[in-house]
Amino acid sequence: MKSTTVGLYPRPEYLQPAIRHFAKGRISAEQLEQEYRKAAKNYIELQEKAGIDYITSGGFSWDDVITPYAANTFGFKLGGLIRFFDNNNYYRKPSLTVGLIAREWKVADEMKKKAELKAIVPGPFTLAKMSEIAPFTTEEFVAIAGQVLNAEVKALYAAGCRNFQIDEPSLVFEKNIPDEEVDAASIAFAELRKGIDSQFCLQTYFGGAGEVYEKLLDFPADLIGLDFASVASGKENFDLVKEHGTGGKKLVAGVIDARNTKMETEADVKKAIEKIRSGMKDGAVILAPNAALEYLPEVIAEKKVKFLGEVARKL
Amino acid sequence: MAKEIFPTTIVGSYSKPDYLNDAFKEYYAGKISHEQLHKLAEKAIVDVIKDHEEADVDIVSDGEMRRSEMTEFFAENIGGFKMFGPVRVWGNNYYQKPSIIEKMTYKKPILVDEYNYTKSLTKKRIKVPITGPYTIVDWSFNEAYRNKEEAIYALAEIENRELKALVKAGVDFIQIDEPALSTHPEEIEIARKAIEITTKGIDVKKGLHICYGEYDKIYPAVLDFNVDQIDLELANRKWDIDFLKEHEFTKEIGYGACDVHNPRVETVEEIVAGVRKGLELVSPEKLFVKPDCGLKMLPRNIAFEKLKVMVKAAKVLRKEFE
Ligand SMILES: [Zn+2]
Repeated sequence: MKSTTVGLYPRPEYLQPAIRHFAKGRISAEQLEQEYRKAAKNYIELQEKAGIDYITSGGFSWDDVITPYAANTFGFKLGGLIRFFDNNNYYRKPSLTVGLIAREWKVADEMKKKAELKAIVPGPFTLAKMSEIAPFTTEEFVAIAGQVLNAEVKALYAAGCRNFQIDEPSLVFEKNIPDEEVDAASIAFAELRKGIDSQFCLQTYFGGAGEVYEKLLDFPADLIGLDFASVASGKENFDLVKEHGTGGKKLVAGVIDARNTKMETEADVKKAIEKIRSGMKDGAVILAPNAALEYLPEVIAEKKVKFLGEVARKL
Repeated sequence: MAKEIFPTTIVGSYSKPDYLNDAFKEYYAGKISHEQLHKLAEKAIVDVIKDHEEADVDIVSDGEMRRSEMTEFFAENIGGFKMFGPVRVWGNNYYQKPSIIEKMTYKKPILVDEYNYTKSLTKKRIKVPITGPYTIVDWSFNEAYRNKEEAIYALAEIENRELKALVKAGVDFIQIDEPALSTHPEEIEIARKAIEITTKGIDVKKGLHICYGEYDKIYPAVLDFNVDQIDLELANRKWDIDFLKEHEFTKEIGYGACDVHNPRVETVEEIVAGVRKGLELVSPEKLFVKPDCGLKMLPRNIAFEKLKVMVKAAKVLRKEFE
């Protein structure tokens, strides 16, 4: 069985003071960059040693998956829009900083040996929900984001990336999303991957897919990532897969709990995978954590990465 | 005894002096003993009490000088927890998130020494804050219990034993801190039950401090909690208390009178006007004047100034209403 990690990794303890020192002007941008590279290198080595098939860069310079991208590419400030442009201009200008993810991906890709490096790209709907988007409606913003992100995806493709994880936690975290908004998110997903012949995963976390699940299966994605490890979301997603399958999509099965220090046993994972497979008529299953490992203490995150590779090989 | 009106108090924490912060670091690095750390904390407590007395606050505390952090401290003193290292809260900010790795146990009284020491330093009434079971579990990893609810109730039983020990030691005002409560309004019933377990058989004055709040989502439900006083952050919402007026406020109120997130020291007039609004909810003897939250985020001199101004404001109001 193949395995993958799905997001940011805890910053090593030496990196936390380095970032503070940089903010206070005590070290240079180059020095901080060196520290980031060291962290990425170590994390990539850890994943390759563990035998993970689709690895991630760890995103050590990112505070989270959404806001830095929102700030740098879309000109959002946390909690509000920076009005660099007037509203009409705004629509066309964001491509100024496209390539932010591609640059980081390229650096990490040169460090890896055999595994395939995924790129993690924030999804249009989640970007909309995590930002103050007025004067746009969610549907309008999501459409813009799809186009801007397509430019980012193209830059990644040009850098050599063929494997994309599009993070859309808000699709399952938010409740009672109007149908039109989910549809807009799906159209934006198509826009985002337009013209790019690669694997695209619709990655969810922080919730069960509930009433939007069937709509998610209609997204133009090759894979879908679901949480099976959280108590409530897990149960919900097991039932959904059992009832609806995965519509031919490959499943990134978040069986390893990224939000608890408790270590899973091999038997736990086996049982969960059997349960998932029994509900799927077709499509492969890729073993994964149910979210980024970034909210775990580093020692535990490391143990979970090793365990992930080890148990996937046995299955 | 005539009832005091507009009694002044604090929420709990006060900023630690540098030597104490350093001592905590050295203690965790294994460079100094617990006893050495303790000695320095006691030295710091003397200064906190001095500030509280000089500001003439009626009901004081030791500023939580002995506590490393509000979750960590209890996790260190209750059996069943283990720390695996810091985790990110947001951005580049981290805290030691404890893991409950086995069933929790009550080892020995946690806060009684703290109370006794404070009592030896002041004649003033003392309030003892304790982080509530809901918040501690919400801010920990749960490896040992089937679900969050079960862990919360188990911890509530343990905290109940602690409260009993405190009452036995002479404590007559306990404040349960539940800042996590307003972040999960959907779990308020679990928190209510937890407080019921925590306070069972505890007949002294009990307060419930809630902050970070979307209060409108937990009010009026918090009025059903088994406490005498609800302690709220109100200055940082410019004393917009309309949402509280929609139901009869059936308890005492810990009335947030100065903002702990803003270093600007309020004026006496501002606070008088802000507190006066509270009289639409309760009578003056049920209105406890206190900062929004613990003062630990503010520099010492500013925290002290804020306390002084707050007490002055309370005195102005007392004159008016006596
Ligand atoms: Zn507070």
